Amino acid sequence: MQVQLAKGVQLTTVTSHQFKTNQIIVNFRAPLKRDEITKRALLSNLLETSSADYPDQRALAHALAAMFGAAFGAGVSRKGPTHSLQLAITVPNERYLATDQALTASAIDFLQKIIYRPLVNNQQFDQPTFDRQVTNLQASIESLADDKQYYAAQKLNEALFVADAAQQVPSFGTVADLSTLSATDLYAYYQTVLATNQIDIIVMGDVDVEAVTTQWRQVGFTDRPTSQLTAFYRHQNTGHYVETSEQQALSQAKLNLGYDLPVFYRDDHYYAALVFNELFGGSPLSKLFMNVREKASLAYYASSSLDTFRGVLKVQAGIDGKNHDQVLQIIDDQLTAIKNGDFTDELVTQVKLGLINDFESSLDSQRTFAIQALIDDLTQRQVSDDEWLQQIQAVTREQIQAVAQLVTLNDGFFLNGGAA
Amino acid sequence: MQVKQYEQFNETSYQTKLDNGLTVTLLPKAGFHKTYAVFTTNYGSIDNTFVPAGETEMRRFPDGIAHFLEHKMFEKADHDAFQTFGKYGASANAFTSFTRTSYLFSATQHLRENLETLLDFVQDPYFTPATVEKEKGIIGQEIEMYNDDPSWRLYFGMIGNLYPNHPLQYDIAGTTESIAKITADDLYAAYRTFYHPENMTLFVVGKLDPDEVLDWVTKNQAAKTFDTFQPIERKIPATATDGHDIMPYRMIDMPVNRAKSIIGVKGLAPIEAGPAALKYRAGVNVLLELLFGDTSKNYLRLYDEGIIDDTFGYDFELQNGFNFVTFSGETNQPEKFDAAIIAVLENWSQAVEGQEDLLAMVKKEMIGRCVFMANSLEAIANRFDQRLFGNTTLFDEPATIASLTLDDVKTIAQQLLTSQAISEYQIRPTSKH
Repeated sequence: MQVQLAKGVQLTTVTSHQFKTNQIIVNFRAPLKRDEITKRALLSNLLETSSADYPDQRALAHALAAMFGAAFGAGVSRKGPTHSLQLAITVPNERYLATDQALTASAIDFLQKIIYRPLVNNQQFDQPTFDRQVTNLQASIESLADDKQYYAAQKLNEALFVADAAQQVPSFGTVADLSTLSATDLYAYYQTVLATNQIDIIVMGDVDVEAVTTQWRQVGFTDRPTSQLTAFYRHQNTGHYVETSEQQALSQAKLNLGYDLPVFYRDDHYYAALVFNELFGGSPLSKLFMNVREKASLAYYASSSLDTFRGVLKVQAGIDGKNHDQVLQIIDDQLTAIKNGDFTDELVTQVKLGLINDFESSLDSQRTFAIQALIDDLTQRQVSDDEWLQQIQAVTREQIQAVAQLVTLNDGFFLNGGAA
Repeated sequence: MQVKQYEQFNETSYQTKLDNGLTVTLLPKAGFHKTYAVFTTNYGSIDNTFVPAGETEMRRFPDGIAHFLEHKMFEKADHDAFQTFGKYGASANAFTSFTRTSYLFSATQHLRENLETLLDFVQDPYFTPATVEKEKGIIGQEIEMYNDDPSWRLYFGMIGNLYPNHPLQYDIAGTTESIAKITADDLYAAYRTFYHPENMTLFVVGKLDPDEVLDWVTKNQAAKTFDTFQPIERKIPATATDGHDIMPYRMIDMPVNRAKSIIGVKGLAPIEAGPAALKYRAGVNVLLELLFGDTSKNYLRLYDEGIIDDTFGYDFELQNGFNFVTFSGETNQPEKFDAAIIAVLENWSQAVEGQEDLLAMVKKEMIGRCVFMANSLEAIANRFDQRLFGNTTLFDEPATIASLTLDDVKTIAQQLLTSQAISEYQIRPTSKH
């Protein structure tokens, strides 16, 4: 059920008996802006660790433990040209516990306190808490470079979106930005977020819809600017391949490739693109897995993924650096094979079954419903489970080949091993 | 079939042992679309010395053989098991731990076909010198990938400190050198020894009808013949009960941005398998929460002093034959980090004595977490370990947690947190170029 609490503020309630927990998500969405990304990441860390009612992490942890170990977290993410700051809490359904505590009402109350009563003195975030979270966010951004799969993916992202700085930087910001932020400015920015961002509240579980709605109405949300956010960012096809490389003291090299693929969420080619990706590198039955890993023994992982909010396809492989040219050739051959229709009908049937299995399995995760509700709100479209299944089943060989024809290799990042 | 009702959870488990020795546990979950099945053998990376079935002498096998065997099970003479699962729309995988190897699938359709595929591919070994050679390249890349992972290196560095004369210290996948020695004959010897139904369990959870599934599995198993089970003789070296073999400190350099530190505490006393093990695990987890959980005073103090941050975490590993605790995190001052953690461990009674209220809160939190896990088919299935915890499931845990007293926790702390069982390992950044 969906209720508009104010312009740009939506409450979606999904009732289900399947899960033994209830989940509440509050999502703040805004157009992606380069100079707001790090601010929003730091905000999410501050909101996650402190509030006026729970001034330190221990007080906050006690409140969560008292709700039978409620799971609470905040985070940020990018989807095409939009950025989301999200808070989520999950509590056990009291019927599975020997208690008469009203856990869902307590969880909503907790979330409202976190959002509307931050730890603030004199119009600025509490300075020691602010400083500690700046230090911690800086450390965690710096340490991410130690995860080489992540590092190579990020380098490829920089190369793919060289035309747009907001698309290039990670969704959680940069270390350089952090030193420019102050507790006063960030608090002022938070007021803007609260007043102008589109808000989606999603409540999922075995809940009393009326009680939940009443509890959220009490916040007194104000209207937001009504213009609908743009859902898609269109990657610019360069038409040619440019590879950048770097050498580090590593045992395993990484080869990451970025392709232009102008197919967007639920447009004409969307379902065919899903099947194409499964066939190319999205599953253990795929061309990449079978040929790079199984037949040639050149990699432990070799896979592809789609970003249908930005119009790109990516391939990632962990290889021995000396095999770079051979791997690049085999990957290219697989794409050519799909363009030429060199794949069996049996394989198409199998990867479709795999997609359907993933889709139906995702219905067993409570979070899926919130993720879908957010996408539906962004794209202003809904597709029923049955329609989704029919669309996948209806994809033809020709449509898969047509998608492959749209794919153009643009950028590569090669992280070579050996001596630094 | 043994039927067990968990009224508080509104769940029921069904269990039986087939004629060939296989233990089958079924747990239907109403409203779920997916079924998750795990077929597990009690054979892991530490079982590298054993008397092969049909032989009489102990033999030492190359490190990494259990994991290598796991990889090779999927390949058959004329097909790959992944393809068969693919045909029925299932997603399949496998993993090897220190003491177990598990093969699994999850599927929303064709449950019978997928179950039969799982049972059949694991019970039909096919290894040739050529296929074994080919796998060495893939596993070699897997080993290299883990070599570059600082968290993995930190963890195994600590295990090396705690278990210097024990196969636990070897990477589960082995080394490039050790796997080079593996032959098809080795794989058959290991297979015949450990993959007898008597040494295996099947756990199926999710969308299922227990009678129907049991019927399918029973028929599938009855159609196959197995040798008489020969009790398995494994040679796992005993480790010193006074901890004198523990290496107290080591460090390495790696190209990381920030130092990483890990403190290990080795459980010196053996833990009796069965419900006692379940209680011990719950007790240690409660103790760790009291000492370092985010509801503890220590956590906030160390966090505010900048000694720990959000990268700090701890873990209790309890498996058949060994148990240890680790505390790890990133830090700019590894000595200070280590000293602070060890000080809390040595003064554990300050954080435990008289803390009845905190104990009650921690227990509440842990019981709530069991409700969370009840949403996850994977969590329900993967927590089942018959050799270690008997026939208990996730749904037996809340009662176990509820029964813990502060005295239980103190007894565990006295036994576990002794100075001679503590060790440190650090990864320092290679000087910047």
